Amino acid sequence: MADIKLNALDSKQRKLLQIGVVLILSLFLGLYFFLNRQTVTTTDNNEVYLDGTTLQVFNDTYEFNGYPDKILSHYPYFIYIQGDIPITHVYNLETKEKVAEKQDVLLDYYDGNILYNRKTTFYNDKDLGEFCDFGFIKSETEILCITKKSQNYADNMLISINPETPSLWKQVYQSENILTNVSVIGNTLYIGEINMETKQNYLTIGENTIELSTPVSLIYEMEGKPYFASFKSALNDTLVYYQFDNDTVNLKGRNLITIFK
Amino acid sequence: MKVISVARNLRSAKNNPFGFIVDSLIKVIVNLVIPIPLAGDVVAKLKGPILGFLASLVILTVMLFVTLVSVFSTVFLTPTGFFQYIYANINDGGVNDEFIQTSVPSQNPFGGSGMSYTAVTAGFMDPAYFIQFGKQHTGIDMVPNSTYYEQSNSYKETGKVIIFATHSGIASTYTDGEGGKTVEILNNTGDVRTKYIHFKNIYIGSGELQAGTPLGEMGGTGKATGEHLHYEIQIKDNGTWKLVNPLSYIQ
Repeated sequence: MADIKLNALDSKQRKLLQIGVVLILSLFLGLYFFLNRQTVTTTDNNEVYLDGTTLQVFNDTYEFNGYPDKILSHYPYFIYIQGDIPITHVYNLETKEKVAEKQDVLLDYYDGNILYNRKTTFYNDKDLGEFCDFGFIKSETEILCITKKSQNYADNMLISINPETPSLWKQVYQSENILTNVSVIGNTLYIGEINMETKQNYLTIGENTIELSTPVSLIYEMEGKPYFASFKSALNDTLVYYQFDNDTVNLKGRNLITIFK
Repeated sequence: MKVISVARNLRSAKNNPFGFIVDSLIKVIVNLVIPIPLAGDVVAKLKGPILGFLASLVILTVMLFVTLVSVFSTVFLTPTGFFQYIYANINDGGVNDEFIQTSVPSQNPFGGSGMSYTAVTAGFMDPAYFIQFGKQHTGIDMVPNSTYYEQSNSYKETGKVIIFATHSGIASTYTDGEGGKTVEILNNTGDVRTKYIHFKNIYIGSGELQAGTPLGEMGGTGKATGEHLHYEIQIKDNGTWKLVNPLSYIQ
């Protein structure tokens, strides 16, 4: 092997190079330890919230831009639908774990039972015979379904369907407005509504209907209390959420919606 | 001196080419990277690892180059002849034989039986859509579901989500800001027309076609939030076109 000849530097130049190498190494090591420390100090997140377009579900982060994505809640389950894939992620808010992931657009999920649409709506493998724009599994024997009064018109109503006898569905509620969503929290029925002409928003709680300034995008339960949230849309320019207290609605926050804490 | 040095190097290269290359590489490393005295000895002892490092570096560089070329060249790979490929793979006559010939739009534009291949992300006059956009949804928005990806022959053969004509008639194609790349088909009796919106690519031109003809590839052109098919049916009622719920037609 030929002799190895070192670069012809004088002692001053060599010292400069040595300092340069030491500086670069220090910078590299410093950066490495800094980034490594940041990773290690990441703490577990115990909340579910929507901050702008960032949906944080415990330690999972999603980008939420509204339609075709959807957020649903059926306590203790939190449901996030990525519509264009399509995939539905289901989390249990009590165990703070993802409990299901379905390659479909679900209308609701409860205790392993699913509600989804084909030509009509299905509860697991049972055809309910109606197409639900919005659905809620109240129990194994009662599905709440917002369906059209007539196929080709927007007017709709809330019906109750027993999956065992779907043809015997019963009308639960209708109004002059369009019903947008429904939930049952603590045996009380909550129904979101909108008037398509005036774009006035309403919420029906049990027997009472109140006017709201923003649309009802999500009705949910947190710490045993009912809440509703309005997402950003053509009809609402700010993320906002409220808590129901008897017949009043109290603003709880803007720009960031807390769904579970 | 230089001449002698060159001659010595040439002789060395001739007698032991591999050793010459290795030595040259080590010289480069020592001179460029290691400025510390005596490091040359260390480097000479670490000939093997250094050679391995350099070889890895070369392989990585080549792979990086190939990856970059592949990524950037994809843009220029236009689907020339792709339409013919679809036709050749699906059916020699250019029509998906899963479709029956009819002038009534009774079939799913993704193929399959009824709605088995699709998930609906927004129904006809969907209230959630109205809340989001402040206007009525005039058709249904559909995306393929897991059954489609498992069973659709056209997807298996092409790897693309192909949209098919749901009935026979006369097609027209256009692009606008709202719906992006669009196909409209007027049936042969002139009283039903279907609209397929947001295509990525349209395979057809204007003219007569049969049910099951591949129209194009599902996309997100126009004002679409994500890739999907917006499918619309209109029927002529007393001389006026009227929107109807496509789900009531799909069998």
